[in-house]
Amino acid sequence: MDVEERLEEIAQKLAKRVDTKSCFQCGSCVSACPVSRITDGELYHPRRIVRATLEGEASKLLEQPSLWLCTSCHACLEHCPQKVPVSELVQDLQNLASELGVTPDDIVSEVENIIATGWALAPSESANKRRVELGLPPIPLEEKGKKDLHTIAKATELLSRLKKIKEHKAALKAADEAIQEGGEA
Amino acid sequence: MADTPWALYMGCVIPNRLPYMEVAMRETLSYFEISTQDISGFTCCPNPLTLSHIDHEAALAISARNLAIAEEKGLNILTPCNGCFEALKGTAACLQEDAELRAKVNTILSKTGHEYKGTIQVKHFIQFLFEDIGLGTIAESVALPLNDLVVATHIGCHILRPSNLLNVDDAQRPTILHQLVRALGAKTVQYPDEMDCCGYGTRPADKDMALKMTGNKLENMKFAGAEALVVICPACTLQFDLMQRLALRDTEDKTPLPVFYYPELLNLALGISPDKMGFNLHRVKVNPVLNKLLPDLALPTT
Ligand code: SF4
Ligand code: SF4
Repeated sequence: MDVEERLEEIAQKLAKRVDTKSCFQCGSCVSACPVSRITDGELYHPRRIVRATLEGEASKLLEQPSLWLCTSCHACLEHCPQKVPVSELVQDLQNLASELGVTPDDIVSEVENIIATGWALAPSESANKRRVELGLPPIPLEEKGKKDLHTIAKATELLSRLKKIKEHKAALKAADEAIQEGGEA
Repeated sequence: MADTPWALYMGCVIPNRLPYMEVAMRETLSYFEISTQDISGFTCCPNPLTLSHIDHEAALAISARNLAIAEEKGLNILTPCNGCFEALKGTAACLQEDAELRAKVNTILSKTGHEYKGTIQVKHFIQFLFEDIGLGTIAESVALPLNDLVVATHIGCHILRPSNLLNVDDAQRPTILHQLVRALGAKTVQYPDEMDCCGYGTRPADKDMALKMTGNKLENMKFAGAEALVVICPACTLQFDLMQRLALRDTEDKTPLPVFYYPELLNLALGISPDKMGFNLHRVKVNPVLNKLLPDLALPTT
């Protein structure tokens, strides 16, 4: 996969939705963004993400952990006077980062759980015991659902992205160990 | 599909971690004699904060599968969770708008033996209370007016936005939760940054930042005079109730703020006994509020 090509696709998708020149860099998305405000715009800045994408410079964003600080609250999208779908763009970039194997561990482990058990939180025995005490029906086990989710993960890019993420993590770890050993020698 | 009965889509957080929210919802449903069905076959909505960040198309297909499961049984979907609502309603609206996308998603779904035809309605339970039961009926049914109780509301992001898909209330100045709380006789306050996220969405990337967002909000609510907080989403509940002590660690005012799921407060106002709900499962003790509403209870507050 050619990253630049994929970024071009994302920029074009954005252009299809809105006149890209219509982002006049007003910063309304930034003042609406709770993450930007809490970090004083230093760590995370949606206006700059839009600009980098439109100027073909988003590849540098893909490896940055800050890309994942977005809470997906969609406040940016609602406040943009030009209807730029900022939060959807951020999600497209996160999807592309995942294709490269860069995704926070907690997100990966939850998604693996979803495919393995059918749920982000798998029904547990203790939860069911408490439910019975509260007069609630036990949570049904969904064997067919589990199978279907695996089928969907295979029919889309989800499984291959998860594999890529694992490889990327292993490569980082190996590089890290090499540096440690080099330091000790 | 207006008269189609409802399938309950409970999601995974409420049934596993916050079953008292489910207890409250079922009490409300039975009070108003709404018939709903528990059906099998559903899976994760999937979480709009994780799976769609890795693969949006897979997320659409998994949601569409859930929609198809209810559709095949001739049911609409009613859910108590903002995240589930955004995933399911957002997908239904997306696929309604975009026939090409629906065909694409159905090609993936065909491998599981399902097809989503696009005939289903998805509602959040709070939206259902507002639109289908109505403020008038709720106000008329109040047996214990919650007079003098001052409440902050946090409606949460994923019932409102993106508003072009979800279309429940004004995305920037929503009023339905305020109105629902006021229908019980309580007062609602407004506070700075009311529309901000509870913090939950940023947890996977940065837990401390998430807590800071939660703490800021709690501080603003208390400063505005709130004695209790009303939420309508399990993710917000995890942040505001379960994580409250940690969230208040770095704030000046450390007074606890009891957190209620709206149906809990509604049930109290309807005269349903607190014993029928799981108040003991709240992390932040709600006894000060229960004592205020029902002085005869004289519950311990320490
Ligand atoms: S609010 Fe819209 S127009 Fe303004 S900077 Fe953000 S994306 Fe651009
Ligand atoms: S969706 Fe993300 S970028 Fe947009 S306002 Fe919310 S946190 Fe900021």
